[in-house]
Amino acid sequence: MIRNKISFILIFILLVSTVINAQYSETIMKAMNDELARNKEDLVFKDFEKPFFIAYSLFDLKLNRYSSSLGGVYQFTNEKRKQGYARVMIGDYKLTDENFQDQTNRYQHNDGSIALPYEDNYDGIRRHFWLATNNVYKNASESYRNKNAALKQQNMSIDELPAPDFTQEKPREYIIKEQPLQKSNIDLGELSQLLSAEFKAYSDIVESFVNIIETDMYRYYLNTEGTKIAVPEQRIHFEIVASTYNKSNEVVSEGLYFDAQDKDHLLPIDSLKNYLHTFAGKLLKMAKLDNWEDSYSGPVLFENQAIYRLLLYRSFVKGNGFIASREPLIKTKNNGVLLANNNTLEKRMDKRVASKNVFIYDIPCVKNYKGIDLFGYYAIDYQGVIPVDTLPLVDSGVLRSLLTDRIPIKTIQKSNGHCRTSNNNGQIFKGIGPGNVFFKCSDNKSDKELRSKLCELADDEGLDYAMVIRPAVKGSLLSPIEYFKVDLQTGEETQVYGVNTSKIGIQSLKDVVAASNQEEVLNVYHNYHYGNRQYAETPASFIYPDILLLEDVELTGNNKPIKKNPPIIPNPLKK
Amino acid sequence: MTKKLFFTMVILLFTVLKTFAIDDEFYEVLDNEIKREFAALQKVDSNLYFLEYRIESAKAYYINASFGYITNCFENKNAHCTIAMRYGNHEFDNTHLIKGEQQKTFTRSFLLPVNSNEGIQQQLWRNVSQLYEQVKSDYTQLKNKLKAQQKDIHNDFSKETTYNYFEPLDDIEFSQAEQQKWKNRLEKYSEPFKESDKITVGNTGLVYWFKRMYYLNSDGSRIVQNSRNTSFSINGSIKSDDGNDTPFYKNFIAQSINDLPNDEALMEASVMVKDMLLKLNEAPVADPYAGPVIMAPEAAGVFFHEIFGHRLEGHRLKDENDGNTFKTMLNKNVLPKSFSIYFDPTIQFFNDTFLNGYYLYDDEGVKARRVDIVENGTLKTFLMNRTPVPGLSQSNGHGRASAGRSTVSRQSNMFIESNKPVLEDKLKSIMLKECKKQKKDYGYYVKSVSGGFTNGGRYTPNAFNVTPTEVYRVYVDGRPDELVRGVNFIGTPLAMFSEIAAAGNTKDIFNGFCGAESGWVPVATVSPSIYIKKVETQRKALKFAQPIILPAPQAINE
Repeated sequence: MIRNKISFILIFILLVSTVINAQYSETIMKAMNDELARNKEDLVFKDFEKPFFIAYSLFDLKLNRYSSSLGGVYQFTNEKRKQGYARVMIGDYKLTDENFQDQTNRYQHNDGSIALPYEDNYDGIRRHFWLATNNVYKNASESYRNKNAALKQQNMSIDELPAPDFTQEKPREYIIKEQPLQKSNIDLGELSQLLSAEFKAYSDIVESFVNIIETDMYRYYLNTEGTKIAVPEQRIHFEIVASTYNKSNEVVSEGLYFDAQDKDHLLPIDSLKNYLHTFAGKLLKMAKLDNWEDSYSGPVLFENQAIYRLLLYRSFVKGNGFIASREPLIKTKNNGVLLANNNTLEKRMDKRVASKNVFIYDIPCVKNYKGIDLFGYYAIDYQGVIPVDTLPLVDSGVLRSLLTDRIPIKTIQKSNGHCRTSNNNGQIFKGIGPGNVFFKCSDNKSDKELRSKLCELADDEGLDYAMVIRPAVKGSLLSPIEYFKVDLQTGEETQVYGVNTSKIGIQSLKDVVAASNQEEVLNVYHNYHYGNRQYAETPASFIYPDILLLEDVELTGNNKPIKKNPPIIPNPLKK
Repeated sequence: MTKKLFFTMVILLFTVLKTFAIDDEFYEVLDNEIKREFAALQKVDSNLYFLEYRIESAKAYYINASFGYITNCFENKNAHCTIAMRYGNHEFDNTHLIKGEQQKTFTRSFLLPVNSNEGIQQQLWRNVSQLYEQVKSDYTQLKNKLKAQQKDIHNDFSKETTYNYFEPLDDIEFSQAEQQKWKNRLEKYSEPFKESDKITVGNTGLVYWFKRMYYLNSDGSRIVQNSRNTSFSINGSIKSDDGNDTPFYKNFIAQSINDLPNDEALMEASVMVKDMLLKLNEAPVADPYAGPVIMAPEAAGVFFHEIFGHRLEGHRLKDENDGNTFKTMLNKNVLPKSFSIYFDPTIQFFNDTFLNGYYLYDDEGVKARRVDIVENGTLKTFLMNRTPVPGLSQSNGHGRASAGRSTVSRQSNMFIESNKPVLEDKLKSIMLKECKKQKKDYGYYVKSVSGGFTNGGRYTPNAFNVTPTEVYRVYVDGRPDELVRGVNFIGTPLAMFSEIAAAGNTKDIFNGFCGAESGWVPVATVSPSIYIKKVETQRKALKFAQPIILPAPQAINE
């Protein structure tokens, strides 16, 4: 009897000490389904065409933001809300109202809909989608008519378009009703304060903060083809940012950025503190260096996340990267119609885009690699398409495919299941993004051989030194990058500061010489809009050799900065 | 006699204690840091003559509901700091306005990490140091530019008395249980909007905030005030059969959440908004018109605030780009002789209703006071902050800004008075008489106004546009009053003021928040009904739109 009582108490304690995540809601699903069915059946206005495709998305979100500095609280906010979108298409799979730009169709989605309810309110959710569908339908109808009129005016047939407007896909049902309970109930607000207080040890760091953003949501997606999706998605994002004065008395700011799937996947506090202290120490050291004023063109050895930050990140972007971008039909000011001629990588399909020893695959269905859970794993994409098991992007240096969604391009007329959820500080969107990217180089060498090859290549070029680029903090995170000159004779490294890397990009894949046979796994929220970190990040994993040697990389120094005066007022934290 | 003196002394002692007894760690950090920073800067550069900290430590709760369900509920806490710095001297400093140019920024704003003294000190130090470099460079540039043109003879900054005033902490408590109670109430109040499919917006909202406001400057002023505010709004919109949206609103503002109207009254207000939307849906769209109009007290309050009040903000007289409507009108008639207008931020209540423009010290640390702007129709002065203008060298306690913005002169509580008030019915008969004279079939009675805007610049027409939400045609032939929709009042201010002919005998309050270059500030107007002989109206811009195609989903369920 006593034993039973103890068991009961233990179960109770276990239950109350676990964290309740966002829950699947049958009410949400039913409300979306009922409203979708009603609109599919009845939505038509006067002599306008009936929609042939309607899709609803809803994100049931809990968003907590914690921002601290030196142990004090800047701002803590806890938000719970729902966000929803309606997509309505007129026409058919061959020709829809989309992929067309004129003055009337800029706001296709969610135009003028009412706010969604905070709780799972059946009527409220239906009301939102009722008005959103109504408004998007009207805009889509107008756009469809304008698009047809524009084609007619230009004597252009549908066959002249690069591809059908929308792919036909099999309807799928993928509903996860339960998600594992989290064991950790760590207080993220306290954690941000605790970590930020560690900067008290550095009086030369003149500003610092620790931001933690926790997103916990259930994503629902339904369309009139019969696809139904409900999946949980979680993210804990860390930003540790610090500033100090450099030798010219300019403020230098750098950051450490990393993510965890949920509280149970957080690193132990001591590891987080270690990261922070390594980062702070490296930042202060970096700021004491003179500005590099040289320029360099020759072999460079990339290490760890520097491979992602300077090479792979810049290769998985919209436009001239591995992310497909449909060229829309544009109605110009003088009423002419033309197909946009964007500079996309598609034009180099089946051509060499990398060295012969380079292989790049996206394999989203891999859940775990060498004992590490991968961020880039997903079973079904945002639009209900099951991703291609193994998608070769580059094979022996030749471009074989791009990441696509249901908007086809000329060379790839099927979705390969890469429509992903992207999170912009709690605002959720969809976009084409990578899953698990495997970058391989068939020429493998040891660390020692690679360093020796680096010096040999530099010597052949008649250079005085070679260059090595590596992250300031190693680990599955984004850290500031450090640059080193390597003495060709002794191999001795000298750190330099202020290196401009803007010439490195997807074209640098053609310069791959060799790589180590050790792999690194980077779990990251990848931003496919290059240059704007805050915009649309999608969970991805990049698996690449931990050292990569490139033959010809251009690096430039910055102009000598104007020396500023140090602050007149003494730093209050300097005892 | 002795007892009376003793009693007076006790009161004095209590006042002194209330004023100077400071038990606030946050304040202590600010006080020490401003002294330290100013002394350090002055030691090496005596041109730096003024430093100011303005901090709003705020706690706010937001709840919103729509069509019977909560859409949003959150709270926010932060401490927003705005620093201002002046370099040069009171006659000429880094804020000096050069003809044809924008004023140089002399403020910085940032959040302070509360409960970390080191964090607060570091943020203040960093931002003050950076602002110092900026104002010093701006001053040098201005000085060089000034050589090419005549210096404005008016000073850039006024010298004012310093004040020490400290209110004890008076925080707000909004318990989970209380929040839940309000969630339920807001849901209930937004429920009536479900009655019609044509109603596309049916929202209710509650904002409840508390601010502890710290003001410190290098002259020695130290002011710590509390401010609390509750606003409850009902906001609806209906889509008519012609596809156009017609909105209608009702707001209540009180100091404390307990001072809002009771449950029954708020429910009635919500039903009234819904009923008005349905009536507006049936109402005809008004044709363009020019003729007599009566504005009900609340509408007149908004009207005066927009087209009169903004032109009384003194700092604008210094701006060469401003229309300066009243620049040459000091001591001249601007309104009928029976009209007087004053501003008084120190008045907290009117007929037991809280006045939103209430404060004791402005955002430049100057003591609030009554300002008689118009006496018997004659313009006597302007609302002043610490920016002197021709003929007015001192502030009268109207320097205001929201967190993060630079202060300028803004309105507070505006009182419109007439020494010849007319009975409300009489006002109507005066209007109808004038209608006959102007050969109009009807005059307009404006009951409520949603807001408006006024252009004060020189490069755009110096005009106003006010959007009424409840307007009636009052017919000369005795037909019942008729509600109309889609009206905008337009005109130029001076022409309009000359047409103001009479005021009613009952007053009412407009409480609201006014947005301008220094951000959103709480304001109020106490006004009687106003009769204007001629106002021009135009049709509201109508969107080409279609009605909603399917009926609302809940109608299917029922």
